[in-house]
Amino acid sequence: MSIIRKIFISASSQNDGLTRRILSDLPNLTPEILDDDDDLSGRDDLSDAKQVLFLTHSKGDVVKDCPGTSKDYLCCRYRVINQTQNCPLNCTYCILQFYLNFPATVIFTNVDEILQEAATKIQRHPKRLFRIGTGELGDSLALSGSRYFAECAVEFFAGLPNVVFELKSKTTQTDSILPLKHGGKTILSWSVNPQEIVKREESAADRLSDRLAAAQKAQDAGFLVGFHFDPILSLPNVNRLYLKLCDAIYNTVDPARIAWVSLGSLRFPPSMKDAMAERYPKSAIPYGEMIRGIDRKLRYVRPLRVSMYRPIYERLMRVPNPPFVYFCMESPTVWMDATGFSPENNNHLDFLFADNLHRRFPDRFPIKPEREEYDHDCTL
Amino acid sequence: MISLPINNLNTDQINFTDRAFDLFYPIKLSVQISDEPDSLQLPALVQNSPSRYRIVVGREWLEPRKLEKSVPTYIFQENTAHTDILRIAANYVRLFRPLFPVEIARIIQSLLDNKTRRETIARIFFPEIGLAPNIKLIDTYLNCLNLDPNIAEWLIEKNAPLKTWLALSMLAREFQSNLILLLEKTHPTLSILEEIVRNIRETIIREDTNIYRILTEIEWKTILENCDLPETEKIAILRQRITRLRFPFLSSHTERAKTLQEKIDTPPNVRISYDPTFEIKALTLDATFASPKDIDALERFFTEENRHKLNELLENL
Repeated sequence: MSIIRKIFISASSQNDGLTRRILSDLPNLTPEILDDDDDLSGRDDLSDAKQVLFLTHSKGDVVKDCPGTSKDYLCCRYRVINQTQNCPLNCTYCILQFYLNFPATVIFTNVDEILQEAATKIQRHPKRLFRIGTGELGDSLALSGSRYFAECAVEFFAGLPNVVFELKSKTTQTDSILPLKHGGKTILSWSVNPQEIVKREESAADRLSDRLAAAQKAQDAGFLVGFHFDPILSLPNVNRLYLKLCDAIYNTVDPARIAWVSLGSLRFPPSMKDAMAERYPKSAIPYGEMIRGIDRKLRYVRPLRVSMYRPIYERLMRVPNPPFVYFCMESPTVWMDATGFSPENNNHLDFLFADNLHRRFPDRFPIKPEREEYDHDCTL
Repeated sequence: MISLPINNLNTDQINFTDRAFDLFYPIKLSVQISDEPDSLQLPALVQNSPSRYRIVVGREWLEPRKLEKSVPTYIFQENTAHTDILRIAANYVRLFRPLFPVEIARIIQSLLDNKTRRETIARIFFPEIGLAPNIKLIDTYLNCLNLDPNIAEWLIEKNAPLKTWLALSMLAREFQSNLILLLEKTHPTLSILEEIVRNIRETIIREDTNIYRILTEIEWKTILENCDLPETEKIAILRQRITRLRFPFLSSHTERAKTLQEKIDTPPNVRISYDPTFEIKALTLDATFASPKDIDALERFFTEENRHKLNELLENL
């Protein structure tokens, strides 16, 4: 059952293949066609952006560097494709619902142009491995428009030598992805949390066990998988639940074929605290032991973060050939205190990804990365 | 538009016991209007009713003049629409001061009791009294009716912003009655009260507990009713205990660092500090040199033992 109640289409998007596929999924809705210069801004009659779909062409860059906003926290140099902007899942902690200040969920339908933009930018640096994904401003698979784009992208990136394409989701909507020719270059990954938290804070997303079963199917279909422990939440008695989560993952999928696992604790701009409290008055999430970080975002106090990360990291590393475990936007101090090691800088972290993938999966990533290729900043 | 002529009304025609329009706090709380009989007298607002005239605005001026023959008034007729009376009365008060949130709540309740539609209140009435035409504000303001009158008066006295009114109006009455004890015994500033309320409320939600447990744990009543403690100490103890409940990890980390810091034998011209949020793991040493002796003191400070202690502190940040 779709939550979409209204569709707007820019005139130039009408005949796109992606548009036609989306519309065929929603036969009961009559779309409203807009002039290309009408971008819906200023429409105050659209009360819920999640129920309104806007199919249009992108007007600027869609392929960008992940906005790691602070020099004091290590950023992994991920790249994002913002083809879908907004998400139908109502996760309590999600920043999108408060900060995507637009009255509709946007899907860019100029698929070929977007993929070509990515290829052009990536091919400027042929000796560097790019990790790129669609899950930054929305779930990669939750909406049909995102899935159809993903199908094109999986096969497109299969043909590029220096890229890893990641689909990041909290759903199990992988049926149309699994049969695709991915060339070993797509990683299907899931954001995860203990089921107790999923139930309370990610109520519109799929259950943890279903996500893990989908990951198992993805591995069976020859995909590498990934997991994102993000956001890790500090709640009473929650540490043992995260350890159980590690065990559940390793009991379901083969750790040796997990490309990476990220760890990131809850963080958000201070103004989101009141907005979250107003929208979810019973949620304990806004009331963790948070301080203002160097990037001005609220985050758990550092020693608490380390005490949350360290046991998870140790549990994840306890297997032969463990996945690459990294932190999303954490300080070198936290890396060091939680793992005994810290990347030297963002570029070094980027190199470590490429090196790890090459060493663990040489058939998929045969090009040996050279450290000096990663010594300079490389922005898209 | 409704035109209201000023009339001199005989005081014996005013029904002082009719409190149908007891919606407003005295205007003189924020505007000095003399009660002296010979001073300039502002007209009160009254409405004609079957049993004489009922007071709409200005009870605080009329009560002291009960024994006078007549008082100046604006008179609403009996058939004046309820919304018109409230609109004019509210704007009359607004000539002298902003409406207090609890007054707006009473106005809204009065309109609802008189079967005014919520949409009409939001779209038409709110803009007429200077509010945004937002229907959500109806319930937001109505929460203020939950405020204990003592707390409402304290908020008026402190000229509290709307945010504080709304935050306190969400509290259970039991919590409010405990706050009254705090107000009586410590006379806190607005910002300290806000901090205490916020920390207690957030701890209750996070720990899924209740106000009784929290107040018992921090010995709220015992501390507040302790005659041997000065006000400032009472409030300091309570704030410290509440902060420890709200930030247990940070508090114990802070205490550990403080203990380690105190172990370091620091000369008077040297000061050790660190980021109180612990986000940055680093020690800062400030040294002041007023004489060669101070340089010697700094040199002597870096003994093997102090280096060890500094390192221990750094590791524990």
